[in-house]
Amino acid sequence: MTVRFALRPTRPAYVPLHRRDVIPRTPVVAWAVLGAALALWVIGLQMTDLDEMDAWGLLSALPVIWYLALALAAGVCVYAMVRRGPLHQPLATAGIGLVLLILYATTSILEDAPRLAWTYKHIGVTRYILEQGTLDPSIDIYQRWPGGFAFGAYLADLLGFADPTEFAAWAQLFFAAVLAILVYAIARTLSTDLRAAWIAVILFSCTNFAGQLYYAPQPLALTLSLAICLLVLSLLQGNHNRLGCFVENALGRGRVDPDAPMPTGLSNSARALVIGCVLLLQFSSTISHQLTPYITVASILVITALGYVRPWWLVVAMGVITLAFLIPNLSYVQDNYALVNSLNPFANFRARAEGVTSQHPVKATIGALAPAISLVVGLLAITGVVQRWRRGGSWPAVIVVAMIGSPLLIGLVQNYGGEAQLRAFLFASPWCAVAGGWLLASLLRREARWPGVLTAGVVALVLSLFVPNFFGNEDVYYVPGSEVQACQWLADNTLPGTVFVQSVPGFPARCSADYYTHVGPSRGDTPNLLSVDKRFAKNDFTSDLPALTGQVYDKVRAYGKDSRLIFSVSQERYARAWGLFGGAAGYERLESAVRNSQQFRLVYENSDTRIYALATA
Amino acid sequence: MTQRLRRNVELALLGLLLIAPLTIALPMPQVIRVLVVLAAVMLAPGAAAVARLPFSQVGVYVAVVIAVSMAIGVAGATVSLWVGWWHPYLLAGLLGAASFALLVLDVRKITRRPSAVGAS
Repeated sequence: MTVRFALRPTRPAYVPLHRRDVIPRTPVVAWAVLGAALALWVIGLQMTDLDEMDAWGLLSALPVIWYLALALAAGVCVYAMVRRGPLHQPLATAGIGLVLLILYATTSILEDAPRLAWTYKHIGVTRYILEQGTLDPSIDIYQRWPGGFAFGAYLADLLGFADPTEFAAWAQLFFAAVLAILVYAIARTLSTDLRAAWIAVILFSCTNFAGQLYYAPQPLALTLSLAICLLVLSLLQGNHNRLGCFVENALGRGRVDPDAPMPTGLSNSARALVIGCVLLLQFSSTISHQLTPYITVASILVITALGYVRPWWLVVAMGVITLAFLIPNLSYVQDNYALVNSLNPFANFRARAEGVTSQHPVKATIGALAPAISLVVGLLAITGVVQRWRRGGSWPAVIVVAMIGSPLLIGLVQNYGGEAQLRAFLFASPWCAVAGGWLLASLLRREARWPGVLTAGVVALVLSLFVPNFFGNEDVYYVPGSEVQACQWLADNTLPGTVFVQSVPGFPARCSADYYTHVGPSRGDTPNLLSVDKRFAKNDFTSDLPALTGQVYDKVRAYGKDSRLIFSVSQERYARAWGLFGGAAGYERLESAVRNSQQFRLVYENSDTRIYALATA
Repeated sequence: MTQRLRRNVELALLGLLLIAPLTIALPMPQVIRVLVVLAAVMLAPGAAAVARLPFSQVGVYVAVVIAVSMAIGVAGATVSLWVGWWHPYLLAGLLGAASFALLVLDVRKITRRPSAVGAS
C-alpha cells in the first residue's frame, strides 16, 4: 500500500527530553491531597441543604469544604501537568476523574430527581418506547429522530430500570467522562505531547457551559460526531492537497513540528473497516439528532477539501446518509419548524427569545459569565493555533481551525430556536480546548516557573467562571422529586386529551409515556399561561384580581374544559429568576388569586405542587 | 498500544460478556447489574467491531470502542423499533454473541501472530 505522507514532517530520529522530563518522583503528597479532596467532597455533600438555595442557586447552599475539595482536586490536576519528570498518568487520570465527579455528580447525588425540566421531555419519549415497544412518527419530532431515546429504552431494559427517571440524572457525568476521553484521544491524535492532551481535557471539562450534558440526544450525537473526527484523523488521514498546501504555506512554514504524530499505515481491509465504522457512527448520529450530522459533514467536508481525508468520497457517503434520512422527514420539518430561518448569520446568532420582563440581577450576572468563558476559551484557542503553526505544526493547526470554524456554519441558515450560539460553542469547544492544550503544554517546556503558574491561573480562572455559571442557576434547574410524582399523578388521574397547563415553564409536565395526549394542539411543549401572550407576565396581581383571574381561566379553558393548571416550587423559582408577575411574590399572588377564585378547585396537592381543575367544568 | 495489552482487554471483555447475562438472570444487587451490563454494552460491541484495526494509543482505542459500541446500540435499538421487533434482551443477546465470536477470533489471532492486527 502507498503511504501518502511524503510531505509530512516526520518525527526526528532523536527528540531531546524536555527538561521537565528528567526528574521522576512519586507524588505521594499529591495522592494524599486527592484522597483528602474526595473525603471533603463527600462530607460537603452531606452538609449541603438544598433548601438553602437562593438566587445564587447551589452556590449559596454548598459548604466551603465543597469548594475546597474542588480546588484541591483541580490543584492536583495542575500539579500533575506542571511537575517535573514524566507526566504521571495515574495521578492525572485520578485528578481529572475527581474534578469530573465533583462538577458533574454533585447535583445527581444531592437531588432526588433528574435536574432540568426539559429532561422530562426526553424521559417521556423513552417511557413511551418502553411501554409501547414501537414508534409513532405522527406524535412529534422526537419520534422521527428516535435514536437516543431507543438507546435509552434499550439500556433501561437491560439495566433493570422500569423508568429512565431512575438513571437519567447520571447522564451528565457519563457524557462528561466519555467526552473527556474523546477530547484526550483527539488531542493525542494531533500531538505527541501528553501534557497537551491532559490540559485539553481539563480545559474542555471546566468550560462546558452550553448545558447540553444531560439525558438528551445532543450529547450522544456530539459523542458520535467527535468519534467520527477521531477515526478520520487517526486512521484515514491523507496528506494535504494543493489547497491544503496553499493554506499551510499561507503564513509560512519550514520548521519541523516536534509534536507531529506518526501516521498509521492501514491495510485495505482495515481501511474498509474504518470507513464502515465512520458510516455507522454517522448513521447513528443522523437518526438521533437533527443538527449534529450536518455539522459533522461540514467539518469533514472542509478537511477533505484540504486533502486531509482519504478517501474523498467518504464525506459524500456521509452526506448521502444524512440527506436520505431527512428527505422523508422534510415536509414535517418544513411544516412545524423552519429549515432556513434567515440567510443572515448575524441575525441567526443574535436570535433569542424576547423577554417582556426583567431578569433577576443575580441571574443576569450569572448569565454574563458564559460570554466570559467563551472569550477565555477563544483567546486560548487562537493563541494555541498560532503558536502551534509557528512551531511548524501547520497541518494540525489548519485542521483545528477548520473544526472550530465548521460549527459556525449553522448560523448561515439556522438560529436553532435561538440556540445557534450555544450549539456552535458546544461543537467548537473540544477543538478550542485542544489548541489551548498545545499552548500551555509548549510553555511548560520552558525552564522557568511562570508557565506552571500561568497554567494554574488559567485553570483557576475557567473554574471560577464555570462553577458559578453551572451551579448558579440550580434553583431554577432543580426539579423536586415530588413534582415528578405530581406529574405521574396527573397522567394516572386524567383522561387522554386533558391538557396540562403550567402556570409558567419549569414543571416536568412530559414525564409520562402518554405525554403526547396532554399537550396543546400544536403537540409541541406543554402550554403555560404565557404561551399565547408573554405580556401577561407583566401583571403583578396586586390589583384588578377578578379580571386577571378571569383571564387565567380563559387561557386554561382554551385548551378544554378538563384542562389542569399547575403551580409548583420549580415554576415559582422560574418566575422569580425571570421577573414574571413581578417575581416570586407576584407568582404567589397569582396562585392566591386562583385558589380564592370560584372558577378553580384544587384537585391535588403535595409538598411542592398544587394542581387546579376548572370548577365550572 | 501493545498486542499483549489488547489481548488482555479482549479477554476481560469476553469475561464480561459471560457474566453480564448472569447478573440479569440471577437475583443480584442492582448496582452490580448496572455496572457489569453497562460496561458490556458500552465496550464489547465496539471492541469486537474494531478488533482488526491497529491503534497506537490506548486513549484512542478506548474512545473509539465506547463510541462505536454506542453507535451499534443506537442503530440496533432504533432499527428494531422501525421493523416492529422490540426485544431488547434478544437484541443484546445477538449483539453479545456476535461480539463474543469476533473477540474470540481476534484473541486467537493475536496469540498466534501478535503483530498482524490491521497494519499494512
